[in-house]
Amino acid sequence: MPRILVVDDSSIDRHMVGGLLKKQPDWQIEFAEHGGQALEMLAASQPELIITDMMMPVVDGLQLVAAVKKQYPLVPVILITSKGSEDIAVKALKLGAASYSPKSALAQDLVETVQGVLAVSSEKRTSARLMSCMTDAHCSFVLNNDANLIPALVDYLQEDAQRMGICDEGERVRVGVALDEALVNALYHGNLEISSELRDTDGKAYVALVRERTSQPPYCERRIHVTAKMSPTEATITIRDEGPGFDPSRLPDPTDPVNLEHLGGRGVLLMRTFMDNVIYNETGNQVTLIKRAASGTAENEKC
Amino acid sequence: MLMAETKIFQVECEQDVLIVTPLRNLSSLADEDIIAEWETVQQQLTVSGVRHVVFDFHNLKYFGSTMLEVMLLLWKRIRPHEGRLAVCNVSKEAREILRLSRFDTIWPVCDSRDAALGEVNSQPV
Repeated sequence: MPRILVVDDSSIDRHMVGGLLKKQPDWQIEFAEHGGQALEMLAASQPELIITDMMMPVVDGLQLVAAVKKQYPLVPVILITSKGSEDIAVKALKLGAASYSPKSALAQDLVETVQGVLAVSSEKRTSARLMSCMTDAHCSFVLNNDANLIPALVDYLQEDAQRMGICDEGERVRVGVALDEALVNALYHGNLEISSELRDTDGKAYVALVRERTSQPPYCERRIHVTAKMSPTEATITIRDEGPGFDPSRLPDPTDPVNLEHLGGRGVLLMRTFMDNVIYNETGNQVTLIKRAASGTAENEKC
Repeated sequence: MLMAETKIFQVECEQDVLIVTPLRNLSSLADEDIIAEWETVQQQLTVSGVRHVVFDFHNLKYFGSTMLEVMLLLWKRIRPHEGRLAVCNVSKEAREILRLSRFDTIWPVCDSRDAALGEVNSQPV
């Protein structure tokens, strides 16, 4: 029986929303008077769905959406919007709200909206449960030098790592930054052999050289090889380019005040900071990035 | 005053401050779309009276080294003319990236656009 938490500081509106939902015999309805109380109830146990008003004391609808998205990402939130609050609704959707229902059309829309969101949410929960049963995942990619593929690959690997329970939302961002830096390095510095120094001294020459080498052998024939191995405790991602490699120990320390104004070296700094281990091969054309599950992260919802 | 509405950098001018609002993260400065918009941003620096730059990151949760390079390149352009650069509305993750790269030691990181505008306008160079 799905539990639905209705959050509204107006007892009249709580009663109205509750009345509409209670017509569904399978739904169990609970109430909170503001976002703060809702968060206290969530800490004790999570409902399948939250319906919230926007304007409330203590913790308002936007703050509640942000907190739920961060702490309970599998619990969807539906907003009840008033006329004139469309901008706030857009903000809430950007923050991660699942849907919204205008207050003026609750009687017509609310039950249908809840049914739709519950169906999607149920699929996500089942998928999360299934992923918690996975013990190992392995995938490989061979990319040409197309920078447009990098964000999609990063997103895919982030998603995999998060589903496997290796990282939470915050760590997902850090893993994404590290992977993006490693892939960009493999493409521009590795396969196309273009130094960031050129960008520093002559931006137009840098762009022209990128264009030229993207279609010029041997640079254009090189590929980026990516393998990812995920387990509930660790993600190991290896990125290899087909360039001549480099000596990472010779990179200037970008945090040294002397080097602060130079363009290069920061990508490797971010990789080393955001991953648990970053290992280059002897040639310097392959980097292995390792992220270990934070204590407790991989223990969630075990199969 | 809104100068240009684009896909990657929204650019506005407020008195002598160029306000750059990145709309998405950047992987490189070699992408065709990015190059065109990057040129536009740089051209705004030549507009008469523009002296300082504020980066407003309210649209981005995080960014990487390419965005840092963009900021660095603009800062290098304005510094000889006694220009200042400030950053505002950064997420926790973006603030961490600025701290790691030590750019928070040379650019004020402000909680709001108003605070960033105040920062670039009020302090002596």
